Amino acid sequence: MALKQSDSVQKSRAVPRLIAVGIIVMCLIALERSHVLSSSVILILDYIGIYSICVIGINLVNGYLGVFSLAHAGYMAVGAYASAIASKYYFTEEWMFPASILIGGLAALIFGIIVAIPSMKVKGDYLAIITLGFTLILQSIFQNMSFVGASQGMNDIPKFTNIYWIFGCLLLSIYVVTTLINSKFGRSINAIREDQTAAMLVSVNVKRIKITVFAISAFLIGISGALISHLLAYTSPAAYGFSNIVEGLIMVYLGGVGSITGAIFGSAAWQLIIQLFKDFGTWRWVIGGSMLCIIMVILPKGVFGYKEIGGVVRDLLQKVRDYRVKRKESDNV
Amino acid sequence: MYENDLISLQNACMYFGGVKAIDDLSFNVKRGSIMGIIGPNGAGKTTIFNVITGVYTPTSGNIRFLDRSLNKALPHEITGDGISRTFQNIRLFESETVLNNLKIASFAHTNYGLFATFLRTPRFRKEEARIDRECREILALLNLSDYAESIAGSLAYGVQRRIEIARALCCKPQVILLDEPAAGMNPAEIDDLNQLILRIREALNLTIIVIEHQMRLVMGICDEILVVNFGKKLAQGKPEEVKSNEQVLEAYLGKAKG
Amino acid sequence: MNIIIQQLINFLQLGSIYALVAISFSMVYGIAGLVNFAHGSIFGVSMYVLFFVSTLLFKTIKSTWLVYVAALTVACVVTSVVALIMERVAYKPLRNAPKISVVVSSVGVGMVLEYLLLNIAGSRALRMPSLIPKIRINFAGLPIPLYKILIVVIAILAMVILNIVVKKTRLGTAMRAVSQDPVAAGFMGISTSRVISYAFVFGAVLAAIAASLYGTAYSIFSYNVGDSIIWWSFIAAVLGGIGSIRGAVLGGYLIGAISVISPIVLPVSSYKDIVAFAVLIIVLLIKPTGLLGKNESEKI
Repeated sequence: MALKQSDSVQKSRAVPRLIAVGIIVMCLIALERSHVLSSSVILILDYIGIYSICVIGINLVNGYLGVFSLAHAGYMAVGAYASAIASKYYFTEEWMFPASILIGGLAALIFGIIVAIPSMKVKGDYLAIITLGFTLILQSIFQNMSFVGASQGMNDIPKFTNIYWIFGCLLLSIYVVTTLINSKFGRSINAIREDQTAAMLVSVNVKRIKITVFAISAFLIGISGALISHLLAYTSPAAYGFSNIVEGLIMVYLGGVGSITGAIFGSAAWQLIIQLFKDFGTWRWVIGGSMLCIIMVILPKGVFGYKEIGGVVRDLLQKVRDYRVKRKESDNV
Repeated sequence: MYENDLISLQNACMYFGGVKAIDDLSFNVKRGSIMGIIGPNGAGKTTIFNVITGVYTPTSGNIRFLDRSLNKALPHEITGDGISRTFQNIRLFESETVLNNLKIASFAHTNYGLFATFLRTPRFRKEEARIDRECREILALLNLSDYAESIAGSLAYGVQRRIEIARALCCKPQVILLDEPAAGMNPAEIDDLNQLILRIREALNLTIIVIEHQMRLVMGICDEILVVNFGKKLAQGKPEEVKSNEQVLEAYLGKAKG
Repeated sequence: MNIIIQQLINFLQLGSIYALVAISFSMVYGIAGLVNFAHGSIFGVSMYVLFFVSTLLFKTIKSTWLVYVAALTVACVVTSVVALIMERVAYKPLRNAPKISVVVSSVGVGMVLEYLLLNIAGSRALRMPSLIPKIRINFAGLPIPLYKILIVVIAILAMVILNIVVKKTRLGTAMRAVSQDPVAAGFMGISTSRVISYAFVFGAVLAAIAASLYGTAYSIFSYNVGDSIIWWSFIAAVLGGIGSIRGAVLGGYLIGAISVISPIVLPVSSYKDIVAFAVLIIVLLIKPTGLLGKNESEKI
């Protein structure tokens, strides 16, 4: 009966899930405070955290809603630039950092709504190319805007980002997406993914849901952009082009579509690959590409496709229990 | 249009390029009645449902529901406001549970917003509990309670047909449009379906329009029958009247020679 | 006047290359139903094969024509083999998987190929030897390089031959059948997987021809040469209606026109991307399946 699942059960799981993540974060904080971890390890954790937020955002549209969008690099660029401008000129104190993050997220959110509009009419590969166009147009605009340093990019952005902000934002993202998915909005998102026309004809307001999902997705990706620009202290248009789009896709589909666990797993796995194979230079991209193919061939929906860690563990325990029962029965015979 | 008429089409036309799927069609549906729509394949029957539910905007003419015009309304507004439907080819959300299929259809009258969703306010809990209860009641009404937690796509064809009706009922409709609900059923199953349709009409005060080829259903439960051919009305009346109408016989059986 | 003619020829040259790559892209899409993100790398592979083979041959053979034909033949064979391996390893096992998985897999293959090129051949830019003699011919009192005319001629010739193959031969009929309904085509005794393999080979050969023309026209290239050309061709294919050969040609020349005209009209050259994408987005909003794409209306 592994197939059975009910909403009332899922709802009660949201809280333990959050507590579990909270404990992990506490451990990380303890480790960071006690200086057990070297700064390079902390940096890897920073990246994992930031990209987890980004990938959770991408997953909302590409996984849960089932729309193949390539706009994420664009949102990230908007978030990075908007927040950088904010904290360079307006919110210059460290305690004002949340305001900059918020501005990054909201600026991206506006672009999310803009991208949502063609998604009503245009579908599939055609929409993919529109979203790609959106990203590349933004990149081109940033390249030509002298106000933000044109192709040189912006330097001397205050280094406000630290592991606390990152994991605070990550927790918030997880909370937002979990609550959204376990509500009438989440059910409607699933319905639209499976059959948009049928959803419309059972009273689901498809337009509103799509705009909401695109907006929240862009908001989260914008936040990750804000965090990364304040971590590296610079931002340049070259960072938000095609390779960034591909990297986002890799993390989403590696971890698994439609899953928060998958988003975190995907970002962690990919960041670790990049860091561990650093000595291989550009060969690591060959390794990464092959891994992507292999995972798609073995697990077309990614490692945690439409599954969360809780569900996977539960299924495993159930299987172990079934196996034991069977063993007992055969012993008795 | 009388007080009693719930849905009325006035000179409705639906053209696709040169194809006249519906051509100057007018009819009224009385509150509480069951109207059957019959006609040869390709006569434009499903298109009638599609213009009523807003999938297509009629080329000309008027479609009214009570005192509202449906011409410009969007599908989700129409289905949320009281007209829901099933599909000729079953279109359930196959990888969702049966209960979730029904909850999805409760979207329009689940009253909470994003704010309540994120903060899990008491209102959110109350509404979720209410939707859960109501959907289970509908399942019970259609004898589907056992399937509540099953994945919709894994169930037998006949069960899926009933789930589709249940899902349509979760939109809280005043009118329900059934598109060939008896397709592929044997006489015994059709008799069961007839009983079920009469039962839900009674229990939920429904008006029903049904497209069907199976005469056992049409003649068994319909108060009035509309016969269409080439998008035009061929005849309308009580089952007995339609049965003996010569034009109808001609359309179905061909012209008698001699 | 001279400038207009020169720009016209530039437009025809660029448009022909885009059109050719767009067709090769569209073929695979139309028949295998797959947006092949690795196609740019196939283009890149052909460039390198052409470069190495022609450089090698020029040491012994002096005739440019002979070298061109020989290098192109080798490039066609190599890219076809690469495309076939790619299809067998990364796409075929995913035939029944969700469409997105195949697209992601193709992104992976593209990455592998591109970075293999980088690691094997290095990141420095190379100069393609001239494969077509540098002769100028007089046209209306204007000396026009022969290669520019030949590029257009070869591209159009390739398109015409492809059109004949698709319209008139047994294989072409099978291809059209598979592109319309692979399951039904299978029931009619057509080997779907063989037809798909052919589509990949055709796509690779067209990409190799396009690469030879691109190399002749612009000569300088590096490992990521496929990226930009494939994006523009992808856009061209989508603009014209992906899966349609005529659409790909139309889209290719349109994108060519935009690339040639916008730098003249606009102050900053990179704004041509914005113009091209803006045109694309407007077209798709009005006609969601491209200019010549079939409107798919859903049956309810």
